[in-house]
Formats: sequence, structure tokens, C-alpha cells
Amino acid sequence: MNPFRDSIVTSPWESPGIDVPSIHENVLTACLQGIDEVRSRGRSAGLLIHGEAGSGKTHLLRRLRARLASDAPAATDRRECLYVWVRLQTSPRMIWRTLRRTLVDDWFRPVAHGRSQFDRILFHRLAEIRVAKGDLEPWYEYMRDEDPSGLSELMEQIAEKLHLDRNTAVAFEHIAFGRHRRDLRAWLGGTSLPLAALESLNMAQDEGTDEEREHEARDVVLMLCRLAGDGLPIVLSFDQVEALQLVPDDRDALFAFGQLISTLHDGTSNTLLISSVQSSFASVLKDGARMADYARMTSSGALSLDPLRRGEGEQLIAARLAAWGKAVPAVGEAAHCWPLTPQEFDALIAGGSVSPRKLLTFCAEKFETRCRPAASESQELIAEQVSVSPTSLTISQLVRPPENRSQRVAEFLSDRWESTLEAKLAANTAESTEEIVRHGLPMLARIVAPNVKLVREDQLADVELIFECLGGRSGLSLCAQSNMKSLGNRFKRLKGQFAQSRLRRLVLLRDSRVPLSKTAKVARQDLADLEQAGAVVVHPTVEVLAAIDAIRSLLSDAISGDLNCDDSVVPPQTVSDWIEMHLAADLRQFVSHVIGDSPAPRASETSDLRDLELLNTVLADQPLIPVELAAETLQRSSADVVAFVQRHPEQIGLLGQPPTLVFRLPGTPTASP
Amino acid sequence: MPKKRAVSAKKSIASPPSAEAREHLLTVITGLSEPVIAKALAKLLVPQFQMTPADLDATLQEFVANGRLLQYPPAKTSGQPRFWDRDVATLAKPAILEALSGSAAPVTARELLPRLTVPFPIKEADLIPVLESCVRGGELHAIPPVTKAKQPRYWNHDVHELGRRFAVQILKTKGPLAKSKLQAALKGFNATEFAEIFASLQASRSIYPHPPLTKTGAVLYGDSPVAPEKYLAPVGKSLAQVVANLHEVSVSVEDLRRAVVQMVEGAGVSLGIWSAASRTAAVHAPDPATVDLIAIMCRIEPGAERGALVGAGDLRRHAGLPKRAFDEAALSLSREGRLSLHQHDYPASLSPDERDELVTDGLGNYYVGMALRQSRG
Repeated sequence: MNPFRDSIVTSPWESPGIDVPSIHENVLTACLQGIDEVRSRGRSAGLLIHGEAGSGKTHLLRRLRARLASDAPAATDRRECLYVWVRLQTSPRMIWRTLRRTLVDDWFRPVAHGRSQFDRILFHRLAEIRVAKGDLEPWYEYMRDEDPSGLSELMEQIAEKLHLDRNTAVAFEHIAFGRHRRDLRAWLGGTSLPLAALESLNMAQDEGTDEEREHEARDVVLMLCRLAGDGLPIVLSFDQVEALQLVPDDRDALFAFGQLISTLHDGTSNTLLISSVQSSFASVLKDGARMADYARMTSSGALSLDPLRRGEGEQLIAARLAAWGKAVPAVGEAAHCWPLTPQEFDALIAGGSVSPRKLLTFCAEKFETRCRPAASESQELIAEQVSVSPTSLTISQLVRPPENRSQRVAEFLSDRWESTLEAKLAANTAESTEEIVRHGLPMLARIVAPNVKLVREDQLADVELIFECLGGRSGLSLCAQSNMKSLGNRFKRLKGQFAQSRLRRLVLLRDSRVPLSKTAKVARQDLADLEQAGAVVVHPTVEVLAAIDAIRSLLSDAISGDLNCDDSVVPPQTVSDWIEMHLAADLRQFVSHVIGDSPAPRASETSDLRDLELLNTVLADQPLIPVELAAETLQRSSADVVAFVQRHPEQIGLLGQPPTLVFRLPGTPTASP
Repeated sequence: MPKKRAVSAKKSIASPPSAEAREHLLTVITGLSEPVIAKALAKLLVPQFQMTPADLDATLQEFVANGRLLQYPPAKTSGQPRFWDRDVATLAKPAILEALSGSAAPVTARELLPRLTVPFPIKEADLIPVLESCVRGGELHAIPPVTKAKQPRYWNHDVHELGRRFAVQILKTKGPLAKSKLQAALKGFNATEFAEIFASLQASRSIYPHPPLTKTGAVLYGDSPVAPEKYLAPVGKSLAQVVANLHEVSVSVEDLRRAVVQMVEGAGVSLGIWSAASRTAAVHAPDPATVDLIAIMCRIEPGAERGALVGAGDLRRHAGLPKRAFDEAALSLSREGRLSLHQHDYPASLSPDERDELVTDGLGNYYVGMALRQSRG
């Protein structure tokens, strides 16, 4: 096993790996001091962290998260904290919704002893008002199981004391009793829920226009911060801020991020806002954000993650080798930097420092070569010769000739694409459709049709994306809500907006996994009216959505300096070029269809997806139906229905031999009845 | 009667071709894909419009005279003139110019034929007048044949360009040559022409002077700039031997490096940022010495003392130093461990102006900003 191979931390929620506490200790200390400051002053603060690619930004956040994690049972007298990690791979116009969803996901995540951060909030709040003495957890379990009405009363007291709105109060009570966890998590995260689910939660959901939903997300986040209270400071860490920019020099993105920070800074009293950005993005952020917003981002200071000096580099190598646990095959001075030779180490650090990722990548390569004595002797010789002269090219450039780099990058991107796409396919749900399309489609459109501009039109509040090209404006409205009431209202508003003739073309994006319910007659009629007026309905396949998701993920990583091949970053333009060259025809066609420069998909493709939506409507009522009923619903023969179901194994399946029943796969969301 | 018949028959043969027959002849010619001789035309006429050879010739000449047909020279030396209603020159000229524009060397009319894309089968005999016409019009150049027995060649460049290309090709194949050897290798050009070609190659930096390889040798000329490695190779070999000897007696790497740098600088090669001498010079030079970058960092960025990043462009503007002096000062402070330089990940994406704002070490590394180090690890 190569102890240097693992050089990228993808999330602070990863379990702590090999660490050298003295590296970047000053930055960690500043973060901890920031939390103390928030706690003691009862005022939120902002901390900005800069670092070049591979400097250890996410590693530092992981260290902070691990440091804050409580490993003891729930208690009230410990100075605990809550942690949230927001990777800003999203549209600037959805930034609050992304924060809301991420915060809720992180707070439902089990952190210690099977308890979530929401449980921690609950225990802290209960401890403030409980009348009993003794251990908190047994008391809470007793109350929940033996005296539920008593627990309810306590919850009411908390809600009253904190001035919680009705929905938050009800949600908190559900958390206390462990009820409806799945739907509760979806509601708190902002996912559109069917009416039946809302009724069982006893909560309301009114999805208005795009802007109203964003405001609602902001209010929920502020309310949840208030729920945590001053005794539980919250660390909100923002990563990949660069990825918010849908196009270079995207001022909207910087403005949105600045506003988010200012609102949290001034609208809460218990948050430490840590923004980590690449050094090359620092001046873009400083110049692009409003001065007042930047001041709040840095109210507790701005720090940089310095590249490693010689001593730190040696410590990092030593820590990795210690974890390897075998004797180092070198002695004296050479042992301090093995698997590098002292000359190689000198050359690598010739400028005074080196980034941790670069050092580890280079060590990983040398480790493999030097643990295989017979391997690439000639390359070794080159490295030895080169290292004598500090004016030469870097060693990595010579050991791996630059002319091969483009080929290696292409191979790397190909592998990365395969694994990302596979992961995105497995994780794709109807709930993520909006974020994927709003963030990923503009990126993809920029690659496929660089002349097409993304514009805003305030009068078209329900048209999330507007593409402008020579032929005019084409708008895309995301109509994939599970809540039929919200969807119906949206169709109504869209009719009015489309009638203003501000768009040459209106595309309504539906998700066949979220069918229109049988009872949503008005919504159905409004949709028909829109189609009659010229609106076009598209149903992207799961494969198309997953591919767009993979594209935005790859590009965001590249923009944020988190996509590394060998010892250097793969630039976003290289990724764009690679995607352009390898883009599947159906994806290209999807983009062209949305922006309106290609004919509509073949009727057979459209009707297949429409039929899928229709069948899902029936399966929402009865998850298992005879093939004959499906045939009657779709007005196809039974043999056709069998073939049709086999074409959509991700959503529906067949039972019996020969097949007699059609069923809906678990996880496919349903519309309200 | 028989006599009368005979006379009338003779009369009918002797009468000029009817208007219909003449029109038919034109129709036949219009349908042809290339110029043909009169004899071949006669075979294509339908029986009722057949003409005697004399009538046919006369009619054809008449059509040529009034511009309705064009006459072309015989396809073979001993052949007959040919007739067609289209102008081969007009049709073929664009194709000729296009074919020659992509040609790396001049070609004869025969060599050009298969390269032409024209809507009719063109013969060499038809091509030569068109080529000559292009030469007269200055659109093409006639390049003399290599030997007397060969055909003339045509090209869209002149003979000097041909000489320049040949010369570069020779240098590419044979490596750097002395001027006299290049002249000998470049056949077909007299001394005046060679002098012109050589001067033109030097002026356009298509050839580069290389130092002689021996003390008495002449200056050489190559098709690419001189690569110092070949000249330094013997020095490198000796140096490697000396370095190995010094290593054996435990001379430190640092001492060796300093000595090598001093030796190289002594030979007239400034190692810039790597040079201890130039580093010292930079520090003691009157202008940069009066500029305290760290103090400026603290002044323009209040958080700098705690480690906030200061943009390279911002600091450069406030420091007011020349680019190179500023870069060297920043790199020097980084090596001393007083500040950390933050690298740009893909500087190739920046415009030259944007890159100029950054600090560079001359090795392809560009730094976007700097922060005061909080520890001296």
C-alpha cells in the first residue's frame, strides 16, 4: 500500500486520516478562537481562508469538524458546537435552498452514539428547562416513552420561548418523538411533498415563485439557527465558492454569496461563517463582492493556508511513513525525505515551499518507483541529473515528459467521468432535478453552444433559465414538483407569463418519476393550455440528468482547483474541451432542444416518457397492477407493455413468468392523490 | 433526265448547309464535354444534317469568327484543331491557381494535370496556354526547368522563394552548414541569386548563425536557433567528474551550489533569481532597498499581520518597483521564510497582462499573492 497515495480530502465528514497537527495549526486556532468569540459575544462572525489548490482547505475543515465532534453522551455543561459543510456547487439563485438542504442533511447525520446534531439541539433545549435531575438521555427516553404529554408540554414551552413559527415548532416536536423522519427531513430540506405527506406531518408547504421559495429557504435557515440557540454555536463552512460562478466574471454569483454571508452575519447571533477559497480567486472575490459583504466575510479575519516549508514537508512525509509502519530503506539525511532523494526534495522546495498535495503526489510516484527496484532505471537517472541544478525544470516535468501530459489528462478525465457518472446515476432522485438542471445546464450550454447567453428576466418569475441566442429567447421552467397544488399554481402563473410574448419558446421540464396525479385536473388542463399556446414539454431521462450532474461536478471541481492529475490541477477549460469532444449525442440534442436550435425529439421518444409518467400516476395509487391494466392505461398491447417496462428498469419492474404484474420501484416519488 | 438528276444531285451537295444543319451542329458541340476535331464532329451529326468536310470546316470557321465557338490547338503535334463552345482558360484558371497554391514546389503542366479538379477532361495542350496567360498576368511564375530536356515549371512563388525553401530543407536534413557548403548544396542558382536568397533568409530569421565547432572553423548556419547543450556537453562532463570528486571528500551540496553559481556567473551567464550575487545585489541596490514589501503589505491589508493574503498586483502597484526587482524581492522573502507565495494553478488561462501582474520565478510558476508567514516551519 502506498501511504502517500491518499492526498485528497473530498469532504470534512470523512473520518480523520493521517494528520500533522502542527501544520496550519495557526489557522485551526483562529477558527476555534472565532467560535469562542461567537459564544462569548453572542454575535456572529466571518472568517475567510485562502489557499492555493492542494493547500489543505478541506483537510483543515475536516480537522475542525473532528475537533468539534462530541464523543461523549449528550450533556448540557459541555461547550459543544454544530457543524455544517456547504459545497457551493449550485446556482447563485438557489444558494439559500442549497444551504437549507445541506444544513438539514448535516443536522440529521448521525455524529456520535447514533445521535444527530438535531438530537444535540433537542437535548440542549430540554436541559435548559427540564425539572428532573440526573443523566439527560435516560430522562429524555423515559419522558418520550412514559410521559409523552409531559414531553409535548416541554416542547411547547421551548417553542414559545424561542418564538418559533408553527411549522418549526411542529417539526421540532416530531424530532423529539422521532416521528416521520423521512418526510420531516424532506420538508425541512425544502423538498416538494405530496399533500398526503404534508397532512400526516400536520405541516404546510406553499411553494410560490422562485424568489418566494428562496426567501422561504432563507427564513427556515435563520429559524433553525435560532432553534440551536446561543449555547450551541454553529460553524457554517462554505467550500468551492468559486463554483457558484456559472460563467467567468459572473458578478451575480459573488453578489449572491456576499448577501448570504451578510444576512447570516447580521440575522443570527450564533454562527461562525468560514469561507474557504482558492488564492487565485481571492482578488476576484474581494473586487467582485460588495464592500460591506466582504467586511462581514472577514469580520473575524482573513487567513491563508501557507504552503509547506522544509520542516513541515519532512514532518508530513514522516507521518505518512509512520502510518505505513515499515522500515525506511534509507539512512542519514536521505531518511528525512525518503522516498525522495535529498536532491529531489531540494528541487521541489527550491522556491521556499511546496503545497501538501504536490509533495504527497510526488512522494507517491517515487514511492512506487523505489519500492520496485527494477523499475524505470533510466527515469531515475534523469531525475538524479536534473536535481543537481535548481534552474532546471521541475523534476516532475522531466520524469513524466510534458508531451505525454495531455494524453494522461485525457485518460484521467475519462476514468473520472466513468466513476462520477456511475455515482451520479446511482444517487439520482427527482428531488435533485432542479438543482442539477439549474446549475449544470448553463455550464453544458456554454460548452455546446458558446454563443448562447444566459440572461435574467424579472417579469418571468417562474422561468428559471433563459437562454438568449440570435433566434431569440428560450426559457426553461422546472415543473417537477410533487405537490400538485404548487405545480398547478405554477402552471397558472406560467400561462400569464408566456402570454407576455417575452419568450420565443417556453420549455417545461417535467420528471417522469413525478407524475401529475389523477385528481390534478386543473393542473392537467393548464398544462394542456400551455402546450396549446406553444410551450414544449420535455422529460429528460435519468441518464441525461445524471450526465449533467456529473458534468457540473467535474467542472466545479476544476474551477475550485480540486481536480488533480499527477501533481497539477486540470484547468476548467481542459475539462470543457474534453466534455465537448466526448459529449453523447442525446445530451447535445437535449441542450439544443431546450435552447431551441434543433427539432423536437422523435415522437416515439416523447411518447415513451409521457407514458412512463402516465403509468407512474396509476402506480402512485396502486404500487402493483396487472399487466392488462397497464396495457389498458397506456392503450398498448400487453407485449408492448412488457417491452416498455423492460426499457425503464430504474423506475418500474415486472413480476411473474411470464410477466403478469407491473410494480413501482421503491424510492420513486409519488404525487399527491 | 439522268443528266438533269445528276446536276440537281450535284447542286444539292454543293449547296451551303441549311440553317437547321448549322443550328444542329452548334447543339451537338454544346453537348460535348471537351473540344473535339471536325472529323469527330461530323460523325456526331444526324444523317439529314450531314455536311461535307469542306462545309463543316467553313461553318466551324465562320462560328469561330463570329465568336460562337472557340478553336483549340491540336491535342497532338500532328493532329487537327479542335472546337468547343466554352473557354477552357476561364473554366480551368481557378482550379489551376488553387492547385498551385497548395503546392510545396513548382510543377510542370503534365504534373499539374492530375491535381486539377475541372468539370471536363483537360489536355496538356490546353493547359499550357492558360498557364502562360497566368504568368503574363503575374498570377503565376514560370520557373526554369532543372535541365534543358525538361519542361518549364509553374508556381505561385518566384524562384527566390524556391531557393529559400530548398536552403531551409537542406539545413533541416544536413544540420548546420557553413555558408559556402550551403551554396554548393543549393544547385541551380548562380552566385548573385544565392547571395539574395541568403540575405533574405537572414533578414526573415529563417536561418540562425551557430558558433563554429572548432577554433578555425567558419560560422555555421542552421534552421533553428543554436542549442547550447551541444556546446556545453564537454564542460558538463568535466563538471560532473569534479562534482563527484568533491562529493567524495564531503563538500556540502550548499557549498557546491554556491561555487557552481559563482563560476557560471563569472562566465557571463546571470542566473537571476537563483544567483546569490544577484540576490545580494537586489537587496543592496538603492531603489529596491528603500522599499519594505512587508511594511507595505501591513499598510494596505490590515489583516496581513495575522496572515491575510495580499494580491500580487495590489502590492506591486504600491511598491512601485520595476517588475523584475519586485519579483526578485518577493521570491527572496519567500525563500527566507518571511512570507508565503500562493501559486496560480493554471496561469495559461490568463492574458499576458494579467500574468504580468503576478510574481514569476521564470520557471513557469506564477504567484497570485503573498501572506506573512505565521510560523517559520
